[in-house]
Amino acid sequence: MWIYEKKQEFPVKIKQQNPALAKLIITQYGGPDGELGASLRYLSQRYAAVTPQSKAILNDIGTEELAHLEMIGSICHQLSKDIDPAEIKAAGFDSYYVDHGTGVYPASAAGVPFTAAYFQSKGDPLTDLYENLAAEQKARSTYEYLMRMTDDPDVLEPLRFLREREIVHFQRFGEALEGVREYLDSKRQFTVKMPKNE
Amino acid sequence: MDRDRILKRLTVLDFLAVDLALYLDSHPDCKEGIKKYNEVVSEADGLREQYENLFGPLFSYRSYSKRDEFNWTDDPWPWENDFNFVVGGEE
Amino acid sequence: MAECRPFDKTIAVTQLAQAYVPIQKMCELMEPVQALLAGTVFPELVDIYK
Repeated sequence: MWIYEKKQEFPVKIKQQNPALAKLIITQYGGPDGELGASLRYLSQRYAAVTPQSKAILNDIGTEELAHLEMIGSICHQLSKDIDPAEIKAAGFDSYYVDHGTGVYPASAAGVPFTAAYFQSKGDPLTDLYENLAAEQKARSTYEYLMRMTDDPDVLEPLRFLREREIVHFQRFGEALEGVREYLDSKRQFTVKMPKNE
Repeated sequence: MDRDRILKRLTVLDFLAVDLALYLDSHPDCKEGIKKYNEVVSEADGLREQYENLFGPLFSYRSYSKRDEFNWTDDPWPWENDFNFVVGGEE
Repeated sequence: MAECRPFDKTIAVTQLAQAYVPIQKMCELMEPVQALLAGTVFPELVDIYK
């Protein structure tokens, strides 16, 4: 089950308004390679996992991604909460604003709402881990593209943290993959129930 | 004691615990890692108690409510600028 | 004292149509505040992006 701790994993304290940047960063909230997709992917894959270590890794990384979701939501909120209405159109923020105001809504930078189609839970322990390795790389690339879009250190610091977390997660999924391979290749005993004769 | 200082130290310790725990998930036999993890958790525990005594509950339905008002609801909340601190470089 | 190697550069057992990630081994840990700023407590996993 989940419990909420009233603090951030990494602090988000932004001084300068920048709705144009918020429009881009929202993609890590509800976009194809964002934190919501990541957490639902791993938390959904847990059930089909076969080794205790891979269950733990899926559970714990899935949980950490929720903390990252909160960070991204905080960044977007703080970047847009006090914007001057006269600047909305110039910032390219108008199409988001008319549907969501300065609220936070899970969608991509292009405005596509979040969908479960952004992730897979295949029920095959090897397939799921390969999916996760790819997912962490996609997230890392996205953070790199986002980091190129700003010089604001208040924004860059949390983005840099989040990017490095993707690299660490990739490593852990890689280790889980080895554990699952060993398990699947090992000698295991199955008991098959014989059907009764009619 | 300064809220930002305690919160920063607690944030740092809890993060070490998260990164170490993820490592231990795939290295359950690493004694060195377990020792370090427990040290971090122990220090964080003490600091968490200090923070809660001074500034209010940190956990939903786990922390005591130590005042007459249910100050769990108090502003600021973590997604707000005022809640947070700048990490900087020094301890 | 033997130097701690965070991972082995060769992987002993491999098969076709599989991908492999070397297993990390814990050696030195970073200073706590530096770890938070970097995004990990393991220096061998730090990848700086400029």
